Amino acid sequence: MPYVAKGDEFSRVDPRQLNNFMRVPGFVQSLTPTQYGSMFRRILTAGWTPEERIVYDAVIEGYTSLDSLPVATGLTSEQIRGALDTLTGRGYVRQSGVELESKEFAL
Amino acid sequence: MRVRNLLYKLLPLVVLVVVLFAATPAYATIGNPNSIYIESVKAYRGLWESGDMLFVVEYDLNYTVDPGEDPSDTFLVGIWNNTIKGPDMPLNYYQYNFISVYLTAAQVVSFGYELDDELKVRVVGNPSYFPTLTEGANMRTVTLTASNWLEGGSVSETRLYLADWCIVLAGSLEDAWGNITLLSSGDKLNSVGMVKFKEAIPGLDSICPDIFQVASTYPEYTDPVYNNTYQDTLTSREGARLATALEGLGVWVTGKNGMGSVVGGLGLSILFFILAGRIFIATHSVPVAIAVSIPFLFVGNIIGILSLTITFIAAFMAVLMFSVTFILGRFG
Repeated sequence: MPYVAKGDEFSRVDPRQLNNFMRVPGFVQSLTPTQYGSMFRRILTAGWTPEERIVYDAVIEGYTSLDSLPVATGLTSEQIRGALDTLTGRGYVRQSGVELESKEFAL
Repeated sequence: MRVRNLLYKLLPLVVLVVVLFAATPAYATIGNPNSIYIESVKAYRGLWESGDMLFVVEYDLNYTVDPGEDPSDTFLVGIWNNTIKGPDMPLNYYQYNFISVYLTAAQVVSFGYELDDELKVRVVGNPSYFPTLTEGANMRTVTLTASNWLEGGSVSETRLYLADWCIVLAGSLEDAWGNITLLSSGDKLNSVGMVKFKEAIPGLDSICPDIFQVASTYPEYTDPVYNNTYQDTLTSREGARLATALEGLGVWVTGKNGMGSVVGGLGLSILFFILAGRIFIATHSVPVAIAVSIPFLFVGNIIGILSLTITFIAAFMAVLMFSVTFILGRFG
């Protein structure tokens, strides 16, 4: 079983393939809510960079302070800033004072 | 003045160049994958028909950021015989997956492929998207050896090899894909696995129905082969004297050679209608006239001047008329 990092679930499956599976009768019902959430996120974030995925996952997990993100993600400040700019532009993350808030995907 | 004339002369050329540039499509490019591998290739001969070939290719086309372009536009898997390109299939998916290329027996002959050929199987980028194709960067080649080829003693045995490999492949895909289950507890392809494998190997359920948890098969039907052995035996009973007599009569009546059997059949028909007419006059019943006269045709069959096929057609028509006039007449 290959190891997968947090935010990398289903990274070895093409999202198009996942989309096909989602249409198989009974497939969605066979998943746990967590599995479904991960799968849905994989499809939705297909075009995201790894940095964007990692930063987004960290914010969802509660690392909402700009100071804590480099420690939580292991990314440089420049990488985090670039990822946050993109995520903010797309509306998945917004800055509230010095804290970050994430917009959960509607599952 | 001379400069102006020169400009006037060059004007059509300039217009042509501008139009040509505008009409030339600009090809998009995408980045090379992080890695490109062919994990395995199995080549089967004799699955749907004797001599056909199926290449099952397990590949890993890894991108960190999934390209927005459809993989069927950007990559393909193909077969090469040295430098001669053979059949190919566009890829359906990036990342870890598998696909197959199928050749009918006729196509195999046309490409000249043989069992154990050292063919090259290649996953390669579309040159429209990858201006430079480099092995290991946007192209991966595997040269087949005898170990890649599989052919059983019969078609059904080769199908068993493919069935076993499909289950192994489904296990690998399950492991790599995480929480996607393709196999049921009895190592059969579940509904998700069925979708995947029937997509990658079209028609798989018709040759390996046992690997599917739920499968439907068509009942096998073979058209019966008919021969005219008995009819030929009867026809050969004509005998040399009768054949010569009818042939002479045919030449005398029609002026052409080879009309003996036609004249014989015609003569027999005339006798048949005379007999049927006499019986009708005596009984005033069409069904009775036909029913009594039909056996007369068998005489023609026995002496070899009437084809058994014609007798059966006549008998069928008689039965039909008898049904209409006699049986249905009772309900009138």
